[in-house]
Amino acid sequence: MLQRGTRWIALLSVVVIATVGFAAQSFGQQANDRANLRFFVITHGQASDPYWSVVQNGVKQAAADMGVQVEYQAPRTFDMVQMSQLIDAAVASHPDGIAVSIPDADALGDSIRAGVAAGIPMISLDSGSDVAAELGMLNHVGQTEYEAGLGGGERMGAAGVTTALCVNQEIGNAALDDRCRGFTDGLAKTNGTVEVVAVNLNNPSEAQSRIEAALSANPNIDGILALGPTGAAPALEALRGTGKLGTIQLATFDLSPEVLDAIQKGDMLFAIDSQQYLQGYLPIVLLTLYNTNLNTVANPVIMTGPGFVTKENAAQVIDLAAKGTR
Amino acid sequence: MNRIARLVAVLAVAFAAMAGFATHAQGQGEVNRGDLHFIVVTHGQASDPFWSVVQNGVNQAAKDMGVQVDYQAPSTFDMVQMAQLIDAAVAAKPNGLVVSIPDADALGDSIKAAVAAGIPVISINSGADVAKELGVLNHVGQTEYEAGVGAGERMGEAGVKNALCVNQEVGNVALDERCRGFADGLAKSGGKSTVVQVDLNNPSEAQSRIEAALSANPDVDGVLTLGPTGAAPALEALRGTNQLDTIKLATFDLSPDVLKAIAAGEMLFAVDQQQYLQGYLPIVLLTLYDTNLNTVANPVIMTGPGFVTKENAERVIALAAAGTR
Repeated sequence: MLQRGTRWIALLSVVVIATVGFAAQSFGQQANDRANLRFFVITHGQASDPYWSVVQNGVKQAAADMGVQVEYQAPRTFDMVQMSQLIDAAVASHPDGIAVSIPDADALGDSIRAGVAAGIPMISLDSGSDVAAELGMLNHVGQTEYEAGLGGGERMGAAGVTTALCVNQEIGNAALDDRCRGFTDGLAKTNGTVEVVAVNLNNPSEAQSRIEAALSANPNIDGILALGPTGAAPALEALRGTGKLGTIQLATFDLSPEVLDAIQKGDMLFAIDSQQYLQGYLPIVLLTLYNTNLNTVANPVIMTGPGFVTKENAAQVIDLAAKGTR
Repeated sequence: MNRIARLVAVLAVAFAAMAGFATHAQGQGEVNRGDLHFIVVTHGQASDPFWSVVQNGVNQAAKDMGVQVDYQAPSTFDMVQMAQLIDAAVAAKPNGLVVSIPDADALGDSIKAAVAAGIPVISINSGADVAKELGVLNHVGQTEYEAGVGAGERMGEAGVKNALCVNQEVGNVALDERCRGFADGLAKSGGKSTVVQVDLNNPSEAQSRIEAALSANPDVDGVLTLGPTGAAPALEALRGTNQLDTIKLATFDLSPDVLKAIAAGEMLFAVDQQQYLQGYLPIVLLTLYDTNLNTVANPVIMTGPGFVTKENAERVIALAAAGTR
């Protein structure tokens, strides 16, 4: 039989262990003190890049709205080794959530899996929609290429386009090929057809000649989709030069000051916008809802695009772009 | 025209131009969140425990976004009254409208009028199938078929091969879709599901039906019920026949009894539509639309299926007590 002193110690230890256990449990339950929540956002895009500075502005606004702490980090250059080290360091500091872009799943996969294995809720953004689920992300927040192309095709079809060109500057790049494929399927919904034109944007005047040649080879063409502002420029020149600006509808992926200007003037029909502000904003909202209320959204991909900038809203988007949120 | 008449005419034109400019500038200028006013009109009374969670989501989002939101619902399930609430909301010209659409025939005209008036509209809870054609920006809710698929996949992962789907309203499209999705989800891991029809107005008869289905097919290793009222007789049937350990039981929707059974390990999971998000997310989306013209491209933002399992049941019980689950 234990003597009295020993029994007391035993009893006290049980009480202490129970108290510690209870404290740990209530800490887990009361993670809803938002000010104590700490998230990391790690992307492959430098904050000095105008595209990524919009993402970062979305992160900051969401952090202010949710009342949480967020650190935004990116390698100084497009460097996957450095990026995986940033993820490893973030995981080691046991944050309440990590949002990460996944431009290269082979290079970043192990670091991301380690975060998930450590019980850290993670959301991917921008790149990585195809690997997000298998890596254990709660959601991916971004624009998927095929669906964006599909939306572009539907919208061109709605504008009456029946025969279109898809101007592709990198045939064989799966992302760009998917955009043209989606565009083709989208236009097919109104029985339109698409022909892919390969161009080399390192030589814009040659690219313009190629587009002009494609137009004169098929006089039925009444629409052109470019896969980015650098492809839109020679297409715009080709239409201007041949006096077909009003008769052939031109649209592009992504925004630039020149693209917005052309849309506002009515020289271009629309731009497909991936709304990257949402790629910064929504993951912070979702991680906050997960931590405070265990909520999850069931869409594997929350699609920030295709959004469409048209003549109707171009002026507003120009103002918002000046403020750094578009 | 004499001089005065000309002066009046010039002034009138100038005034009209100024008024036009003012409207234009307001449309494009900086939007102050504190000036944003949204109205939420649902078919669920705030006294209903399900809808009070939706309302708590609305209130928290209004606070987080720094916007003003009014939450309204008819005093009973009354579509005429609900249409009138929507009409009154549209007349107030809010910066955004959130509506549930349990009956598109009864509410469609009012919702179309809101869209025609240029008010951004988001639907929640009911109406996923009509949202797009009515012109709403997004629908935020759980779709029946996809929730069933998720449940089937999860049962399959737990090793279930041969399941029953206990349906209290065969012919009710929403419930049939749940069972159809469940069968398709289970099929992904080679399993199958059989529908058992029960009448929940008579729970002991429902229990007997389930017991009969179990003894008719001894291979059954999983049971899905379509709500807590169906889960109760299924739980009794499994308890009574001592098959709680061998047959996995899951249900749609939460109740205190369901959460308790999950925490005790008597049930595998509950499919949760997380209605807090149906209140919260539309306010966030409308704020992003009004301040930054942002739109999310998913026609339906799926608040479910979320899953409550033994792993998180205690936390969900605590959150339910706080009114957010």
